[in-house]
Formats: sequence, C-alpha cells, structure tokens
Amino acid sequence: MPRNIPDNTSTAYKLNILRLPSHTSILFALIALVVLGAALASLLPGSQLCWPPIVLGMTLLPLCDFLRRPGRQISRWKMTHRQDETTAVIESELTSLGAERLPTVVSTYRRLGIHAFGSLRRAYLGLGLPLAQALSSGLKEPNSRRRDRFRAILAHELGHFLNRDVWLMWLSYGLLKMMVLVMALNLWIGLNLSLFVIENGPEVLQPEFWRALSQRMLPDVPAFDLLPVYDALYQQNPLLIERLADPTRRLENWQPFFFNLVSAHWPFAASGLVLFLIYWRRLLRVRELYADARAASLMGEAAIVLEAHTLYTTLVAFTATVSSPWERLRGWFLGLPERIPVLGKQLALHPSRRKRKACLEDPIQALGSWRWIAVSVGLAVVLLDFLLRGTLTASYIYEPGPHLPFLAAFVVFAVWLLPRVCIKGKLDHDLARQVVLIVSLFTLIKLIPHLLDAVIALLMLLGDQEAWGTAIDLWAYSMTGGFATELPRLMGAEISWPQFIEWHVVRPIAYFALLMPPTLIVFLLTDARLKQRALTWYRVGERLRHIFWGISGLLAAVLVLVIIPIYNRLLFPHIYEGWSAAVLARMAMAFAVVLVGGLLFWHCDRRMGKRCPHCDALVPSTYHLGKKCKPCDRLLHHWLIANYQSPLS
Amino acid sequence: MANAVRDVTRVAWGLFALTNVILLFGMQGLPLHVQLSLLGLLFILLACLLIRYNQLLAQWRVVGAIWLGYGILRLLSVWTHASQIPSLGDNLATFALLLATMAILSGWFSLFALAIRRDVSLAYIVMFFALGAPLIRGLVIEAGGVLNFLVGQVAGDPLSRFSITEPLVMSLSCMGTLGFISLPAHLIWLLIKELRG
Repeated sequence: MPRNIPDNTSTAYKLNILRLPSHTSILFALIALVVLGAALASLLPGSQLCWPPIVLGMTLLPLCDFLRRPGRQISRWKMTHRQDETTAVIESELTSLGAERLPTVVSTYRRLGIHAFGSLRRAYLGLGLPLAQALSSGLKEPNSRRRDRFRAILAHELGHFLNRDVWLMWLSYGLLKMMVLVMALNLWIGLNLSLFVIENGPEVLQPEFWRALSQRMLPDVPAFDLLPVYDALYQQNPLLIERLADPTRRLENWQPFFFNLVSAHWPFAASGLVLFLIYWRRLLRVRELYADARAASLMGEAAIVLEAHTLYTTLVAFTATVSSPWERLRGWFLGLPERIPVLGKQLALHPSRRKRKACLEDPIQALGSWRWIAVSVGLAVVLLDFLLRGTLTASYIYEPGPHLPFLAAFVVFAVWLLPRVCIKGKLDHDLARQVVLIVSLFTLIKLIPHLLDAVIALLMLLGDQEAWGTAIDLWAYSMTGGFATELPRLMGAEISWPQFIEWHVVRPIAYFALLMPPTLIVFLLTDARLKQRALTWYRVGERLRHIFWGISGLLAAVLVLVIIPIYNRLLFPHIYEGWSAAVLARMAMAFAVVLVGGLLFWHCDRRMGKRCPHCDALVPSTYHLGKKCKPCDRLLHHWLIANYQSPLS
Repeated sequence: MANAVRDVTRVAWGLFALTNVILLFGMQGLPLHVQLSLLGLLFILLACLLIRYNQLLAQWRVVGAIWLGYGILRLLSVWTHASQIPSLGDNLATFALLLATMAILSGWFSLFALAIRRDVSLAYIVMFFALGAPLIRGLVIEAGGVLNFLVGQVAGDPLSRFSITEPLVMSLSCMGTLGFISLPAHLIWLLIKELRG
C-alpha cells in the first residue's frame, strides 16, 4: 500500500496503475486467446473431432516448458548462489525494499546484466559477477543519492516479481514456442506421410499385396486372409484407392496433399510470427514500464528510477566481459526486427527512455492508446478467425462462432477503460467518444476478412462464375486433403450463388457491422457507469477491485448467454436452429444472476454509497482521483493514488 | 568411500579388458559354456562401468560419440567379415560385432541416463518425430518395398552389410519410448518442485 501519498493540493494526483488490471495481463490474455482458442474450441459442442494430442500439446507442453525455464536459465548461464558478501549485501537490500518472498540471488562469471526470472513460486535474480560486485560496492556506500540509485536498480527488478510479470512473460513464450513447434512437427510429419502414401500406394493398394502379406507375415502360423482389409478400404473410397494405386498419377496425387498441408498450417505460422513479433515484444516493453512504476512506488520517487536506468546502462557498459560468438549472434538475431525501418519501434525489446519518462509522469500511458488497444484486440480476433477458418480446423470446428470476438472485445476494452473511469469518476463526453472510437476501429479490423470475402464475391459476380465456382470447389476439396471421392460440385449445384453471397458475405457483415458495435458500446458504457457508481462505495476500500470484476463478469455473462444467442438465431438461422432446452436454461440462469447481482448492487449502493470510511460523513457527487472528504479532509480511495511524484516535479 | 569406488573401478576396467582379450583370442579354442560365462561376466562388468560413469554418459556429446562409435564398429565388423583376415579368421569380425553390441547397450544406457539426469523428454520426442518420419520412408526404400519391410525379408546376410539407418533406428526407437515415458514423469517432478517453491 502506498504510504507516502503526496498530500499537497497543488500536486496532480497520479493513478496507481499497480492496483488495477495491467496491460501486461491484457497482452498475455490475447496471446493465450489466439494460441489456446483454436485448440480448446475443438472441445466445444458441435466440434466433429476431439483432438486430445493437440489440446494436450498446446496446454501441457507450454506448462512443462515454463516450469523448467528457471532451471534451464541457471544451467545455461552457469549461475550459482554464492555465500559471499556481495550476495549478502544485495539480499539485505532486497529485504529492506519490502520483498515478501526474497528472490534467490544467483550470479555468474559470464556476461550478463541484471535479470529477474523464475516461475510461479520460484524467483531468481540473476546477475553477472562484475555487475554484482559493482552493485554491492555501491550499496555499501553511506546514505546518498548515488546509493539510492543502486537501490532503485534492485527495486526495478523486484518490481518484476511483485507485478508477477515474470511468469506472464515466460508462460506466453512457452505457449507461442509450443504452437510453432507442434505445428512445424505436424507439417513435417504430414509431408512425409503424404510422400509415403504416394510412393507406396501403387504397391500397397493392390489385392496381390494383401494376399502376399497374408501368406508371408507369419511363416510358421497357418495363413490368415488379409484381403478383407483391402476390400474394406476399397469400399470406403474406391476412386481414391484407384487413383493412389496408379503409379502414373503420382504428381497429380501429390498436389491436393501438398495444398491441404500448406493451407492447413500457414495460419498457424503467420499467427505465430505476428504474436511473437508484435504481442510478445510489446509485453516485454510494457512489463518494463510497470516495473518502473513499481520501483518508483518502492522508492517513493520517480526521478530516481530514471537516474537508476542511466546508472545501470553505464555499469553494464563498464562491467561487460567478452561475449562468445554465439552470444553475439543471438544478440544480433534478437535485435534484427528492431532494424526494420518503420516498424522498428513497435518491435523493440525495451521501451525508450522517453516512453519510460512519459509513463512515470502519466502512468495511464502504460495501458497504451485507444488505437493500440483496438488494433491489438482486432488483430487477435482476426488471427483466431484465420486459425478457425483454416483447412485444419474449418471442417471440424463450428463454435465458438462470434462469442470470442464479442467477449474478448468487451472484457479487454472494459479493463482498458477502468483506469480512466477511476481518474474521472464520471462518464463524460471524452470517455464516451473513446468508447465509440475503440469499438469502431475494432469493428473495422474485424470486418477486414469479411470485406475481402465481399470483394471476392463481387469479382465472382462480375467475372467468370464457372471458374470461380471451380476455385471454391477446389478449396472445399482441399479441406479433405484430397480424400473426397471426387471433385465436389458445390457451387451452382448444391449451393446457389445468391445463397453463397448471403451466408458468407452479407449476413456476417451485417452481424459484425450492424449488431456488434451498438451492443458493445451499450455494454461498455453500462460497465463504465456501474463502475463509476461503485467508486462511491468508499467503505469498501480495496475490495472494490473484486466488485469491478464482478460487474464486468455479470455483463459478460449476459452478453454470452442472452444477447449473442438471440443475435445468432436472428442472423444465422440455418446454423443455430430453434431454441433448445439448454440454451433456454442458460438464458434463465443469466436472468437469475442479473437479478441477484442487481439486488446486491442496489443493497451495497444504499448501505455504503457516498459515506466517508473515516468519519461517516456524507460525500456528495461522484468520485474523482484525489477526492477528499470535506469534514475530515482525508483522501478517499487512497489506494488508487500513486505514492510518487513525476520526474519533472 | 571415494577410494573404494576408485579401486572397484580399476578392478572392473582390468577385468573388462582381460575378458575382452580372452574372448578375442580364445573364441574358437574355449568350450561354449566358458565362452558364455565370459560373456555374462563381460556384460556385468560393462553394467558396473556404465553405472560408475553415468554422470559422464548423460551428455548429448557422449550420446552422439557412442552411437558414432557403434557405426564405426559395425563398419569394422562388416569389413573384417568381408576381408577374412587370415591371422584371426572370423574372430576379429565377431569381436567387432561384440564391441558393437556393447556400444548399443552403452548408447541405450546413455540415453536413459540423459533422460533421468536432465529433462530432455521434449527433445527426444521432437527428434523421434522429426527424424523418424523420413527414416521410415528410408527403411521402406532400403528394404525394396512395404512388403519386404513388413515381412523382414532383406537382401543378403545382415552381417555383411551396414546402413546409416541402423544406429538411427536403434537410438530413435529408444528416444521415442523414453521421451513419452519421461515427459509426464518430468512434468510431475517439475510440479512438485514448483509447489515446494
């Protein structure tokens, strides 16, 4: 809890972003949404296939990678905990900074700066021995500004543990790494398996092979007939068996296999690249900003954090030892994306000094601009769409449909708006405008794939419909990996052009352009309004954070259980037919939860609303950051106020 | 304790070398039951030495070296078998094959030790799938078709031919099995370590 809150009325109060959901968590949630969304969607009702290996691969392997990360880092850097004076000095300073659970200080002779790492319950502070000695000697100096700078370096690293961003960073890394690994292996095995089938099809898919195998499999055992196996295979798909058995059609057989494999895996490759380059790197930068805020909070001053950063850079430059060629190559490779001319800044691993300073002056900047938050959620949703519409998934997974875009947008935007609601305390024109802008930009990004579909549909209508029809048929054919009995005739035969355009273009666009934006705007404004009201429950204190989650959760439940099912049946009646008992039960449950939640809210508002927790006096009007109770002149919701001043003041 | 281990190791090395020499030179002169007893002793000594050096063996470079050694010994056995060196006759070829067998056992043990001492289960699984898929294709091509591959019909005497797929098949099959067994075991161990903090 901040102890040193500036009590000067001339001081502009800063929001204590450390007490609210962080931008780091938002980025982690978006990465998890994309990576796990596709895997876990296969477990939803309506999925034609359960993929235990994929689901296990996508959940257990990242967990395994995450849990063994600390051990691997220790062995990779040859770090060890030393029982010497240097370590003792650093540990004692960490204790004095208020570390609840002291991280294990480990050092190495190799070239390394200061580095916070660990897992859920293990925390390590790793550092190169020359740097550790420099830190220790700086900390042994008598009380001075210089000593405080050394303390601030440790406070920043301690901030990573207190903010719990260490595990968010490595768990998201594990998720991404395993997605890339599992999909790369899947592609490699698929290519080899396809080659195997094509090469050996002419031998295996002949009755003679099964007869010979029956006679020669077990020499001393009476022969048993394996020919029925061949017959069963043949009956299942005669055309395919004949095609694969024909040695002259190898190239022709290879093409659908290859097309299927590539189209099945490219969405994962593209998503992995975007998530690694944009989201994960952004997460690394944002966590530094939060660690700065934590360090400023621990030191009770923001300027010292910037000074410590300068000192640290100097120390690293002076204490650097010779790095191995491998380390130099790794450094060059990691820094490669930053050299891209326009995107470089968006791909950096660390925030610029200017950004650090700006975030210390105005902590709310750590949450990013409304443009960034709209783009990040929009892009994540589009990436998930790509994964779910790829040839690996589209044939088997029908859900979650529009639930995830709706839910992801509502929850993330509500979390992003919360600090602004806390500062202003009222729903003013600016805030409402930001809500409209965020939702509009998000809708535009979400609509991009559908608009591309619309362009293709337009080209189809204007161009050669026969050729476009064949292209769509081929795409459908590729989904089966060439295992279909014959090239299907869907377009013009089973599906008419008007039907295709209505189902694949008009209805999705109408859904996401007409229904989604007003719904999201109404829900976000309601969420902000309710939170603003809850902010006047001064007696609740810091427990208000749970109430914020309760409000958003309740609205999200209404959205998912009531609003989206209605919209689905309104616009996609051919997919969501009728009202099943399960859907009606879920809706009834949502209504009951809303009723109970509403009564609780009303009760709390009456009992705790607008009363000072210190003198019980009535506090009129809405809350704003730094509001005081006039009779007792004490700050209300002091936990929302940062205990440090800006670097410039 | 350290001295005792050192002494036992010395004795084991001495006996191991002696048994090998006896087997090499007495392969045709010694009665069968003596040969079998010597072989039994040899494998017991090998097991002792492998356990003694388990820490050294549990390294990727050692695993690679042992399987490379196996390949060389197999090549040597094929070469000696084909060239029929007059001084030792078939003994040298058989002895090279015996050494190759010991190399296989050492290779498997080193893979096992590596899986126990270090969390390499994921690496084993990745290698198994990455190399296993083209290896199966290679084996089928080498066998001359799926039927030959399945019924185990090969062209010529197995003692007189060697292929690079041989050490790969033997090491990868072991890696795959160990990988799938040790992955959940390591995960449980990691979770226990995590809960202990």
